Amino acid sequence: MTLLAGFLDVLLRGVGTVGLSAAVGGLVYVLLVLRPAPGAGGLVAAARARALALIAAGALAVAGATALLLLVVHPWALADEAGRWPLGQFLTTEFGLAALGRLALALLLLASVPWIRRAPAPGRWAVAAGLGVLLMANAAWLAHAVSRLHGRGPLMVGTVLHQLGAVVWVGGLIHLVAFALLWRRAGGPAIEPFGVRVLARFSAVAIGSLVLVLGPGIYLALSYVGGWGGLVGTGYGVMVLTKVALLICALVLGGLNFLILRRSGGDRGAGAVAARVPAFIEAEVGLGITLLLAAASLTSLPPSVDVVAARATPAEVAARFRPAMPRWSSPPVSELLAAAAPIDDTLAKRQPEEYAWSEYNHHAAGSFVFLMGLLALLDRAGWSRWARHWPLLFLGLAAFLFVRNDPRAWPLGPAGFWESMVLPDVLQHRLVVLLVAALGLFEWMVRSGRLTRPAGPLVFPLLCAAGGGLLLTHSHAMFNLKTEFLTEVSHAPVGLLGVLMAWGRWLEVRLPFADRRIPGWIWGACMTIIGLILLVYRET
Amino acid sequence: MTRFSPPAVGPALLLCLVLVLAAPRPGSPHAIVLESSPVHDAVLERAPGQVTLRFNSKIEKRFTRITLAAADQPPAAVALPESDDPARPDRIVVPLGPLAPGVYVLRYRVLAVDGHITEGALRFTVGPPR
Repeated sequence: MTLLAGFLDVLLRGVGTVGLSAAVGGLVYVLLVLRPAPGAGGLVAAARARALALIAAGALAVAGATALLLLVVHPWALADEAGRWPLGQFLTTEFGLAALGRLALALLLLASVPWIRRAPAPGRWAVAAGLGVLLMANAAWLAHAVSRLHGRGPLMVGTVLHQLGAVVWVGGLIHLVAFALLWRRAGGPAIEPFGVRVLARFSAVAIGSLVLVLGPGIYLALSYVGGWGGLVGTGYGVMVLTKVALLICALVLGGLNFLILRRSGGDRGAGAVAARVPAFIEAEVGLGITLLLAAASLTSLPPSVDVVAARATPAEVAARFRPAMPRWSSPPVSELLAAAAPIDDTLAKRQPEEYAWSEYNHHAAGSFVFLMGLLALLDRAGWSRWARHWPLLFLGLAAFLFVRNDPRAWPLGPAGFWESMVLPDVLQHRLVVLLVAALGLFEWMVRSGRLTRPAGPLVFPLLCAAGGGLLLTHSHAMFNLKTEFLTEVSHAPVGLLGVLMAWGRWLEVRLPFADRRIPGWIWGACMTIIGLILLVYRET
Repeated sequence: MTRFSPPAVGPALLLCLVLVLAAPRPGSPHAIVLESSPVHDAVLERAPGQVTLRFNSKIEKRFTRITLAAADQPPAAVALPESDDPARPDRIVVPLGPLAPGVYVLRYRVLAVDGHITEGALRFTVGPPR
């Protein structure tokens, strides 16, 4: 029950942070970026209406996620032996009171939207902005910092400033995507330069918000990670590194936007901006949301400074990435079943047969992915037409995963197909198999001309982004911190490359034809490197 | 070649599935035990009168739940004392009754002040292992 509650807790905290971005980031966007301009009154009015709708949706997401956490998930997970939920008692805890405050503030912000819509006076916007400030301040009592024994105050302030920067940046990007759709649809000589000015104003806001992300972020990292040993030897440290890598990728996209805006020569090159910048903003939003979800996942990890005895050394981590010949044979399933402890024995040590089984699975999957990466690059180079059918290999990968993922279940193990469907991990693995098959099928239909809808090519990057995000935020570690950390340490680069692959392909689909070459090579290379990492994966 | 276009709801449903599967997963326990007495996997000559757990964060102690299980026995709930040292918000002291020689697993569920719920286990042996 605690494991499921933990999953829901991180999920709802992630949804809440994305909602907070749309709401509070939206307020900053409307007040600082979306200013009225002559000749663009209609577009500004439409953009404000859309921004208000997004602010309301964000506030609703914050309220809904908080209410579920506060009134359902936690009381359920804290039920006593008789199954009674300690709701009243829970509401009087420090977390309960802070979450009640967040719920009330989010509902007030939600209620302020129709009030502003009726008469958008500056005073009403100021009230909404005040609610946004209170919502951000309240976040201090819902974060890691509040439970620390020492230095709680500065850590709480640092957390709020770091979150404010992230929320304004990602929220602003979400609103810019909505604006870009309206802008491109409106078009015209008066409208196009206005859009460029909006984008330029957002650049200034984004730089300010990134200063807020980085300054307090460095302070928090120093406080929670401690040093190099904590950075590379714990799950928390590796997640911080992953967040930094994602941020750098997003900054590269932001920098490209900035350059396009500067080179456009202002209003005259507005057409070129309208053709390129929205795609980059969409990819930035994807990276930004992945960052927010990774941050939500980070809150469930113990800070590196606390993980001392269970910390891995840099040499132990490096050993997991040292190239070695892949394992081409697997122990028989009967040996595995005889050696492995029952699945619910959380204190049992994993046996050599289990490691060998898992390594073989990774190496075989790696050979599929490596081959697909090479074929995708071949297809990109235009050297052979048959290489475009590479997504069909996903079907082979799905079949392999279906057979090998759960050796205790059908077709290899004693548990029947339907009988094993009630086990959460088996169910999850089978859903992943379905997704892998869908991934291959959709992309093959797109590449072979069988799927012609405009949304068709976007399915592959979305599924890749999901897979990458899953790996970045997924951890099995519960009882053997060091062993599990070392087992999963290679998931971080694979997840990161998966996210890059996703948004590289997204850019290849969404950018004008002349600009598709570089992102096309990037995502193909990412897939090939993922295959290589899986081929050298090891658990011992 | 046959061309077909799936209905518009297809990508939307797929996106929902993606979001569910891409959602962040529970990670390691947020509140971890920094120190315990006895330590995990300790072999003790005599049964301990109590188990002390020191966590890396402040704990809302009234929500702590403890069970103790002897080998091959179902776990039994252990009641915590009403009065506790408020100056030690990171410590939990679990009083134990008399224990026969054998292997014991103490399982705990705690609520950290920031709202994260954590489960963990501590195994120890009293006397020579059976």
